[in-house]
Amino acid sequence: MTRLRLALLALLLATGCVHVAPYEREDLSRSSMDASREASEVGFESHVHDAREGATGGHGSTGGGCGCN
Amino acid sequence: MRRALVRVERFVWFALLLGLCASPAWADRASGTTTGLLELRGDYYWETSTRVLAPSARLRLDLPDGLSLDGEYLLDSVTSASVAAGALTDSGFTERRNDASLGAAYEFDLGEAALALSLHGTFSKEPDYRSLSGSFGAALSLNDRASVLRLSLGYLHDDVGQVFRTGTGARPDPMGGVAGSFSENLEAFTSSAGLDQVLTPTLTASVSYDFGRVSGFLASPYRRLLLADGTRRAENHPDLRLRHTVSGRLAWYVRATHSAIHVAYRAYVDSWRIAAITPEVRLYQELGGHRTLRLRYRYYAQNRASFYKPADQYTADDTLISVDPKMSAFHSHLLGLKMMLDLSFLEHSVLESFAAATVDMNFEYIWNTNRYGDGVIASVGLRLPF
Repeated sequence: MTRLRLALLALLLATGCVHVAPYEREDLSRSSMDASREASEVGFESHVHDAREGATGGHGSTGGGCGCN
Repeated sequence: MRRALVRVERFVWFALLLGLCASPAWADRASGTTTGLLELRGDYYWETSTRVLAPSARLRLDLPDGLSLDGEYLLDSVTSASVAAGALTDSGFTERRNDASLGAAYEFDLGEAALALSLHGTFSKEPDYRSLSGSFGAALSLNDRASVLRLSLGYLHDDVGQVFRTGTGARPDPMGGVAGSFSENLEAFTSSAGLDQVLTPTLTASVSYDFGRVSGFLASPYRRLLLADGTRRAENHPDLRLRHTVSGRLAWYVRATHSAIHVAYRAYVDSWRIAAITPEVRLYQELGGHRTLRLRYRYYAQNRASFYKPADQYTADDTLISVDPKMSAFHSHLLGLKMMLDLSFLEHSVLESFAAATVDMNFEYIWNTNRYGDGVIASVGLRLPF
């Protein structure tokens, strides 16, 4: 747990150290770099995995929501 | 409580219809400055005992004043042989789940930063199950949007019923009663915190932590166990579950090969002593000619819940009983192939209004070591920004 807190703290501090200007982000704007474009597909797949696996999370769900339990 | 849920359900349907009908009018009033996205999908899942067909439609509007509206409808048509899922006496069936959601988000300009607040509600109904959930989200963008801090809180309330499709409708021992009298609840509080960070002009990272507190009826009303002495026991899980998930993702664009590589990892643990890991890698390869190929590999492994045992090891003294395959120790491999095609070649043709659209076709196979067995996920989708 301590390692996790330290890792999160390091990441938060990194937000102030890293600066990539908007005009340098051409490659980041490519569709293949944008995970949010696949949100609907991820939604269905998460639903399938939630109904078949003991774990959940990482995509906003923590169980419940349908009778496929 | 049930009457209140019925009212909320009617409101969600009304608001969804209103939102869908009003959208073109808003776009016209804005004289083309309103943008949005229409997404149509058809998803399919197959395994030995179950088939799911799930068409869905989603509409998002981004209004000029910074407000975004989102509406989605999904129909889940499930055909299943419930005996395969653990029921002792039931037959194959087909049932439908209607799922509608509405969302609204607004972004405040804070100078060098931006704060987006969002509300989202979902209603889902099927013959033996009803679910209502809502969430609030906040996203603070810093450093010219190179850093985004995210926070979300959610609440979910489910009504769990029971439908017997064959036979007399009598519930099995030891609980007694009749099918229509079965009524249980499930509640969940969820919270999530995360950070998206641009690290270099070709590398981004995301981390998040999710916590969920789920309570109430957490078993299946259909799964039962036949003990060695011939008595039947209904599945009985603990009525509280605390779930923790840490996940991270790196996305790297390789200019030399026009490829994007996404590496993700998820670690999970809960109060039922289930621990799981989920590493995943995705490779997006631009092929030219408007085509992108995606290869995906996902591995999942978990240990068993503390109260789970093979069915033949339960005795009459056990109070917690599970015949749920996802409570067992197992692992799975998923391998997928997806092709995405952007329709920009339609520019200057009679179908020019579709030139900004993309279509995709996806096929994935799952090798699973528990009782569910192997599975297939297939989908087709259309994304039309406007």
